[in-house]
Amino acid sequence: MSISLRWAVGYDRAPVKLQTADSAPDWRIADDVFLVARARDGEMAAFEELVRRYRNDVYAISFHLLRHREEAWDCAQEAFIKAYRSLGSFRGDAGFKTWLLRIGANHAKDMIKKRRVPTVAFDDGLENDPPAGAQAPDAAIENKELGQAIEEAIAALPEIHRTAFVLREYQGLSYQEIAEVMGCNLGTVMSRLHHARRKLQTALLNRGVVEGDVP
Amino acid sequence: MNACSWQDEIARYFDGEHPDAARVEAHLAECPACRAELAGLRQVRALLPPAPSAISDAQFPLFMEGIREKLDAPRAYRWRTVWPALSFAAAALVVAVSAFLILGGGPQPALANEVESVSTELSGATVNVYENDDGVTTVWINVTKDTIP
Repeated sequence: MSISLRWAVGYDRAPVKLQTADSAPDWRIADDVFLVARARDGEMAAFEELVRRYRNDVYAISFHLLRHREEAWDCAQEAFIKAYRSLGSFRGDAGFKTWLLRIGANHAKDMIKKRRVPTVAFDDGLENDPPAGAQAPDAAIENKELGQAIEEAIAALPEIHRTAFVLREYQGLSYQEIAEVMGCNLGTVMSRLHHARRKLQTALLNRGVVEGDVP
Repeated sequence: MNACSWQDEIARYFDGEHPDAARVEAHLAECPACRAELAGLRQVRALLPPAPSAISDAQFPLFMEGIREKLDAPRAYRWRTVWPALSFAAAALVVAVSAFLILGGGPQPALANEVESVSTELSGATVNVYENDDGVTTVWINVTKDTIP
């Protein structure tokens, strides 16, 4: 039995074997540049792979900004929709993830502006499931209170400080990538991170969570 | 507060962004204030709660379906993008109609003729002039049978 291979060519990365004569394309092994190109051509399966890869990154930044699970879900969906409709404008000079997070962060900010009633995130317990393994009840309560205190401190940060902090601490973006997402320069990124961390340290000290001098 | 001028350097080192980590480490060995600064940064990071619940593999089909539905749905036109086109179309229509009227295109409306006087040589004939609201003038001549030649 002979198998013919179809090669992906025309990009600045090594060709990627995607398909044999008898099988459907395996999008999981394609890189972002190729997937974007295919999605731009209308290949929905390629776009779906991009959604699969980055859904949690977009959801996380949406949640940290909106502090509301359902709104974060909607925001993440809208971010991908906007990205799909804007694929023609993606130049590839920044990474696709960075470009996508910028869309998500901007949409979350728009949603916040449109809120008529300030939304207060509630703790439904689903996001603070205790880790597997037994924990003493007192320790579990203490950890839950500590986690809640930190979440409240993060939520109380000004939006630009919170965005920079979340992108660094939860998304692991570099300073340069944060600058691209937020549309600012490196110095501004460092300044925002500095302010976010100072505020968190102060908040934790005031709550007695940590010991030390006020920074 | 860390009074040392290396404060920004410590933050960059902490984030793995400093181009000369060895130099920072040498300074840390000699600066208690910066060591405390670094310890404070590490403490905050260590206390961070885990990331919010992810969109699981089981939830992904529902998430993707929502995206597909919105992509397939006809877009609600946003006035901000449609208004310029509508404005242009309306302006073009006004110009076209104006040109049509000014240049006299199409049949002109009938103008009513005012009857100033009526006379006839027919003996015994009477003439009535009627004018309706549409400006149509009717001249009604009544003659007797004997008058008709």
